[in-house]
Amino acid sequence: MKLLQLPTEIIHLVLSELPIKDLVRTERTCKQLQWACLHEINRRMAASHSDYSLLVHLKQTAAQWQQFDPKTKTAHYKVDMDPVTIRSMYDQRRLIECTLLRKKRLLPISSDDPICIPVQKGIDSGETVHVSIRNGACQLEANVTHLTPAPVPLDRKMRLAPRCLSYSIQITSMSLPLSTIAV
Amino acid sequence: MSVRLLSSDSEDFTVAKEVAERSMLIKNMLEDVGDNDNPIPLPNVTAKILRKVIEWCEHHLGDPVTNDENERRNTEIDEWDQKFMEVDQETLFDIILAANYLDIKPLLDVGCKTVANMIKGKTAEEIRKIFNIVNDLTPEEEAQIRKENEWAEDR
Repeated sequence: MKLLQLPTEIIHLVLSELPIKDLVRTERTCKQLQWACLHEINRRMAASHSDYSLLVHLKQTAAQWQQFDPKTKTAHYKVDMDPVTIRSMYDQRRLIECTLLRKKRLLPISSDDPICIPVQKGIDSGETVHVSIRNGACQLEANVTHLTPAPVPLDRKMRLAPRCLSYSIQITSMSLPLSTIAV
Repeated sequence: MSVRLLSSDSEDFTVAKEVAERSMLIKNMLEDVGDNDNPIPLPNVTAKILRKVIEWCEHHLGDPVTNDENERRNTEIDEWDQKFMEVDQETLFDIILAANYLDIKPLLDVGCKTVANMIKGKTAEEIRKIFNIVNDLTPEEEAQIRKENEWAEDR
């Protein structure tokens, strides 16, 4: 009797005892174990479908697991969030930092480079642009909208004052590489 | 009260009913047939393995039965079980198969954890060597997986 001759359900039980890093290493042994490891990774992700959330400008929102792509080794999550409004003076570039949180640890997942959504000059009033930002830990897809400004106040002094620009940010999806999930 | 168990190679074992009832399969059989002197045939378990399984059941007779799968699976293997599982690979796999057939979940967990511990921290090459696995991936496929999983290669 060899390991690969054990019934599939027992091989899955063995693999369910392994951390993701070991599953990934085991994947390279042979085709049968490659399939079984990818199946186990997929099962594990589906089981922990709401393990992650994002903190965007003090607003926390949950990410819902959608699927695991075995080719790119990336897990895709759907993010259902209400837009967050950001105010910016003039046309200055402003970086809105996002933090990836894991529920089990209640700690942000650290990365050398923070993930930031840029809000900057170039978006027409009322226009929405799609942005894709990534760092070593995750990739985010977001919609940034330059909100139409409120009518100009009648007061003369107020009219002279610089008016702030308003943007709304709405993250729509998130992708995590296995290396982030395995931490 | 005792129960008789008959291995696949026709060896007759007499064990305490509580010991035999660690196996859900035997427990259900006993409930179905009632008190009976006839041995329970276990066609999938040899005498060598049945002896080991009985030894494990006797040692763990007083253990609380937990139905919480997470609790059971998060428990580390104790020292006695580690020693118990120090057997050759074929015997280890036969114990796992017997635990699965006899429906002794805690023993099945111990067996699977033992195999998992043999895999933990090893490279693909080491795993192949330990379990005598033939690499049927093409060099290109293997290179691709290695590239995708580069982050996991350092131990």
